[in-house]
Amino acid sequence: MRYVDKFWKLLIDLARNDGVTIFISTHFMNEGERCDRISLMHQGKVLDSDTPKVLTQKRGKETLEEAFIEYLEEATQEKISETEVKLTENSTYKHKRFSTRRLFGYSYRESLELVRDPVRLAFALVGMVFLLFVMGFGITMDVDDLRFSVLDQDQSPQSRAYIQNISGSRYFLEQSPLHSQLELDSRMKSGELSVAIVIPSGFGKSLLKGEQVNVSAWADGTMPFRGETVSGYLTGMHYDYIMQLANQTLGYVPTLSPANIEMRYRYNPGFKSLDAMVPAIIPMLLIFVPSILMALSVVREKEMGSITNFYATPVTKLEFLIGKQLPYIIVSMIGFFGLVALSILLFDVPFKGSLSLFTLAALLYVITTTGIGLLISSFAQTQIAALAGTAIITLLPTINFSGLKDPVSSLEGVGAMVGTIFPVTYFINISRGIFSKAVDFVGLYHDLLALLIAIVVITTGSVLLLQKQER
Amino acid sequence: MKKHLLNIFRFGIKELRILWHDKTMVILIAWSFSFAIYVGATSVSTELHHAPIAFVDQDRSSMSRYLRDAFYPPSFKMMGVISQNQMDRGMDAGEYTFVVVIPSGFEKDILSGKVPDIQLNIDATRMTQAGIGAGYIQQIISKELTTFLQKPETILPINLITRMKYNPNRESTWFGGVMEIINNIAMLSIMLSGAALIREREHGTLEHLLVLPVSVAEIMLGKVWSMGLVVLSAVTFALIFVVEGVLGVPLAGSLPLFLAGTLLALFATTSLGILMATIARTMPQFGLIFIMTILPIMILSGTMTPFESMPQALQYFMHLVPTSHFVSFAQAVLYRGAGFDIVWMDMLWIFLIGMVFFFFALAMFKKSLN
Repeated sequence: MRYVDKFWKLLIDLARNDGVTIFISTHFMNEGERCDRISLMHQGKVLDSDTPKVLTQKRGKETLEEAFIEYLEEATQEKISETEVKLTENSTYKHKRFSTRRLFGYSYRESLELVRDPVRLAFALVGMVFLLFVMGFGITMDVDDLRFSVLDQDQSPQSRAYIQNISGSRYFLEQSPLHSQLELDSRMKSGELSVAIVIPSGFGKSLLKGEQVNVSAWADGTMPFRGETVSGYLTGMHYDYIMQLANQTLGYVPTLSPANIEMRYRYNPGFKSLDAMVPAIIPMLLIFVPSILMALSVVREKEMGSITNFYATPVTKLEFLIGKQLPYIIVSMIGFFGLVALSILLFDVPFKGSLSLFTLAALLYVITTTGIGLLISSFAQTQIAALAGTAIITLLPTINFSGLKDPVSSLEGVGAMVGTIFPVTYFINISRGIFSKAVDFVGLYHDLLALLIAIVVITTGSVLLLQKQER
Repeated sequence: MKKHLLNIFRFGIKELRILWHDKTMVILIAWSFSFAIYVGATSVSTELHHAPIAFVDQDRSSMSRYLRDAFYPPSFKMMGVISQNQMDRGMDAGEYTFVVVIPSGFEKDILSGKVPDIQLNIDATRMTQAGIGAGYIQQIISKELTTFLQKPETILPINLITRMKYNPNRESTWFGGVMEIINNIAMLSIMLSGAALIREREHGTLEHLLVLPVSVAEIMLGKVWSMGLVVLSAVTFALIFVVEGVLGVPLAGSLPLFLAGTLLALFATTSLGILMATIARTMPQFGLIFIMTILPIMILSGTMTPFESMPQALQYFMHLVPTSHFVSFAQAVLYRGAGFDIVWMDMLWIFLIGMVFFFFALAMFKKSLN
């Protein structure tokens, strides 16, 4: 027995024995004949409705098919000929390997979806601007406004002068004084104090007598980088004070070092956090937003079911992927120009290099970052997994391993490896190079090449991993 | 009451089942609380580490050679002696953070008692390394020259001894491991709870829930407890096995206290996730709101840069985010061994912010259904 017949048996069983009413829509007349009552339809209009037998008899025909054709001819006022059927049979369909028409078809479809969801577009662009603001001002490597307090066990003019030297600095904010070691411990424990200085009793006396005296400082080492910087500040201020002291007693400033070290802060003479960070934040934003949008756009089709259009049509994997990618590349480039304009106009970050070179690099970069989204979408089955996958794969390496704070050459272990193959590393280098150092094409060709390689690897990976049929 | 609790319990079980069937997601969660923590903690060092340094040696004397030898790993990475030309190109390409230029006649000048200039070129676009490293290099050069000349060390009238409390050797693994966990807590709890709601909306199963004889609060609490539980157990695992076990970080404070704080933080972050999901209509919109929220949370809560050094306005703003209190709480408990008497303020804040998020989300959720 054919499967269709088995299926029909099931349906009839349901209708006869369980009293279920079943609606069937079909264009096969032999199936229509099995129903109790049928309606013949053309262009949404019911032509007639009755049992199949009565309908055939009404037109005086042998079969239902002939009756239906007569109904149709009456409705459309034209003769249905055999030639029409032949035409479709003879139309040759040539299967093309790569069709730009199919590719742009997907781009068009995707653009429509984007344009018709203005909230998503607005979130994407406004979100980038918002993040540039918050992080541009927020990521500061300057360590200042440190809360400090003193346990002055001496209370002499000398000890007060020493403290004055530190509390006058712009790095420290003096808090109410400490009274005991116990208090020092508990206030540091709560995080209220980042630095505490203990001046022993007899400090002033020893200083006057010319004996060496120890001062101890406690710095909160919870955040090692901050502790390190604090310790540097303290040493600097300590030497400053000793120089002043020497100047007062000896009348001249002695040289402590046999050589003079002249510091040249290149590319960012003011040593401004903003100028150093903004060129690195742009690459960050241009990976998160494009890759998440991209990954979700494909997995969304999987979850909603519209991916069948890809499974069941001649469109190839490459056409599908590139077609979907194009609109997002355009959106990301709009974001890129917005971010650069804001950085220059609003944040006053000096832009020393060539904008056209930067644009070229950014184009390669957003192709890479949207590509990362595609790569994730080719194995994620749900939108949640796509979102989590993109976040986990992009957030950690971008923030930690791509040279945002420390250069990749200072990393070690797995981080160093990840930093070397992660494309963000190269674009941060390009962005800083063009913004602050005016590096030209020759100086950046190594980084641009790395991005090109990334594009090839990622696209190949996506094509290989993407399934043309659901498993 | 018993019926409400049972409903909440069953809704949570449903969420757990859905999560368990999404294998990619299970793998991602396992990854982010095991290997990701390890990698994050061991690879990045926040102190001076392998800072690339090069020398332009125009003197080529025994003294300049002696100076060069003073820069070695792990603090520095010696890139060798280069020419003036190479210096400009190398610094442009970002190969060196520091280049020391020793002028010709340097040794002669010093021996004859003059004070010659050494030029230290710093790539100031690399804030952290540049800031800390410059001070270090200055100290090293002074010290090395003094030893080379066999000058008696000048005895200063005051001697400053700086010690690091809570992390005497300034090991960045200690800091990195726990901060990585905090970031992952925020990331996964917001995402899991929010995305679970969006999924219901997109698939239309939200309608099914609404015709059941249950309240909206029960649906929400079901998501809060289940996703909170997943993250809480992952955190416990990560702290005991990865941070204490593999990384060998001594945790100063009480683990139960920390987990209690984590529970409060999870209540706040899962509620925030649901709140975000009531604002977004589709998953792509949620994804974008998620990125806009999670980036400031991860970067500005005090896990990466010192909180008190941010602009004042931003500090006030970040105080509204539960993670900033949670970071301060976690640092106090885990590193400084603080007890409940010290951290209760932070815990209270987290709880209050969580309540605001929860009731705001509840109101928005109810509103979005009408």
